Amino acid sequence: MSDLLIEAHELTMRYGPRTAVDHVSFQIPKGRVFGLLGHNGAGKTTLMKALVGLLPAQGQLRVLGLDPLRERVKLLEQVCWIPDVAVLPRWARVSELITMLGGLHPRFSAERARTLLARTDVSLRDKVSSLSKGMVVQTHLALMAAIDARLMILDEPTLGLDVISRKAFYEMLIDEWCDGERSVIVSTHQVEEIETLLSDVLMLNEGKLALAISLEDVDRRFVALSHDAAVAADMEAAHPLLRYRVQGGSAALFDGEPPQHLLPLGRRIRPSLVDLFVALTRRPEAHRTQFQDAR
Amino acid sequence: MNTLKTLLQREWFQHRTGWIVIALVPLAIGLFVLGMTQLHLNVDGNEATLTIEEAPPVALALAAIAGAGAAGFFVAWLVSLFQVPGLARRDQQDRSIEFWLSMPVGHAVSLAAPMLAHLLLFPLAAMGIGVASGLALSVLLLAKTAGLAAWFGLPWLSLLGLTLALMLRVGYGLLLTTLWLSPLILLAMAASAWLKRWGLPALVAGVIVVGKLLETFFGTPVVWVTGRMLLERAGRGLLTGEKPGGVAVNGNEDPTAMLAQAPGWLWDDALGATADLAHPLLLLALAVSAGCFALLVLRRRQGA
Repeated sequence: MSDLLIEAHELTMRYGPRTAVDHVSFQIPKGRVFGLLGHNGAGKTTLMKALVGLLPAQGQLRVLGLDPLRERVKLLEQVCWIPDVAVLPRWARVSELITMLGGLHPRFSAERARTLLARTDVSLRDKVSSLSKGMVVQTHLALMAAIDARLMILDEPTLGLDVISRKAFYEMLIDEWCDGERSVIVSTHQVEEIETLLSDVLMLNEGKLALAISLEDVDRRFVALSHDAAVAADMEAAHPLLRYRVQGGSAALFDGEPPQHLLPLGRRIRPSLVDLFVALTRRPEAHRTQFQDAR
Repeated sequence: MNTLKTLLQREWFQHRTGWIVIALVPLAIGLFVLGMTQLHLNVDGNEATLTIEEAPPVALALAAIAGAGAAGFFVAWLVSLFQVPGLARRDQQDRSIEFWLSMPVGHAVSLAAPMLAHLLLFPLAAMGIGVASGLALSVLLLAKTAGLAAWFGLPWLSLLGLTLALMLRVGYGLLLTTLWLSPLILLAMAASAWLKRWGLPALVAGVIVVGKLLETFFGTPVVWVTGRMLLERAGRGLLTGEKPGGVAVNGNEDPTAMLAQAPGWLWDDALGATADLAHPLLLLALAVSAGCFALLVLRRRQGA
């Protein structure tokens, strides 16, 4: 069996005249946690819907070796998908959701779902409508984590939740689902919060893939130099990807090794994913403002 | 794994409270009516007053059982017909559509299950509960009028045989009626799915405008004729109302004599309703239904 769970080649998706996903190619092997990052409207949800067979895409796309559009039902037997926060039916009791998933999903374990739910504040008799948003999301994750699948796709799963709920969600995801064989793709705006969970990132910018890289390679490829204001002009002259504020001064982010003459002028620091995200997905006008601010 | 069974179970989870209340309506009405001592009957257009004490016990029992069963069936069926257009977009409305789309279940079965539950299973179950309610009401009715002994003295074999025959006829009839009404039902569902709350008004307005245009400019009332034929055949699906010899039933029969004859008559009636299927209109109905169902599948594939 191939180690690649997803193979996308030159994927293009359009809504009428607007191109939502533009010639995107990437591969996702097993055992990885991918962050799908992008601004609103960057094409994240559109891409995820293509991965689960809800939208057609031009180009080549295989998920678990299947064509998502033609083999959606078979694919979803091996893929967990949490499309949004609070999409569980509000009229249902938690126990009824377990019963229904048991009948609809061949790889669902009711026993495991009950075990996972026992670790939360959610009772089996609770109605979804009576749960807080955070509890609904926890319930949804517990149900999905009880599916013996190979891939989990999460689209902004913690949007609008408080920090405690977000933390509890990601803890359950990592502790109860990720086992080194399964893979996760999670799209979110809260980049800084999941940075430590990720093994790889995909960055979408206006439908185009701005970056597809492992976090190990991020450290190898991108270099940031923190520096004093006195050498700002020198840094700027070297055309860094981004100049931004850091504690006690400014920093310049470079794709690759900075010019040798700059190295003595600054101190190497590890660029955060947020900085990299801003650098690679910013709009030109945002860039100008940020650049001026950093002086 | 039985996906259809689970989807039907979902309907039960979601609608059970309303369904139970509706199914118990005949019992509530029956108990209310029992509180009255006189029944006003309308026989062959002539207003007549008949105290229930004068009616034969078998007729009273039959009226209670068949009446409660019919009331349960028709109330449930009408409620379902009223609800069905909304089924097409209920999951979009409560934002759970993406949860259902994340399940490994085909679109067609996801759409067919609620239709099956609402249009066939619920009305039939309500009829069954109505008949059971009618049996209970018949005990109270006869205990009040002719004494409890009269209830035990009823010709139960014939009475239950007729009840069973009636239920089978209505069950089969509902299948035929739903078949004839399916283009109208699915048109309403498709309109609701695609045009949301404007779907039904737009559909009604569209049918009226097209019907008027065809009638005015082409002199063909094809829309009205087709609609009337569909409704007539849907009605005949439930009960053609014809005796084997072609004589219409007038409701002025001796109930005891009818008990023995009725199952055979119901069988013939079912055959007559089946014969109605041999008509080109059925092909048109099936084609329109299939087209509308495809529109529903397409809409569901698009998700929210």
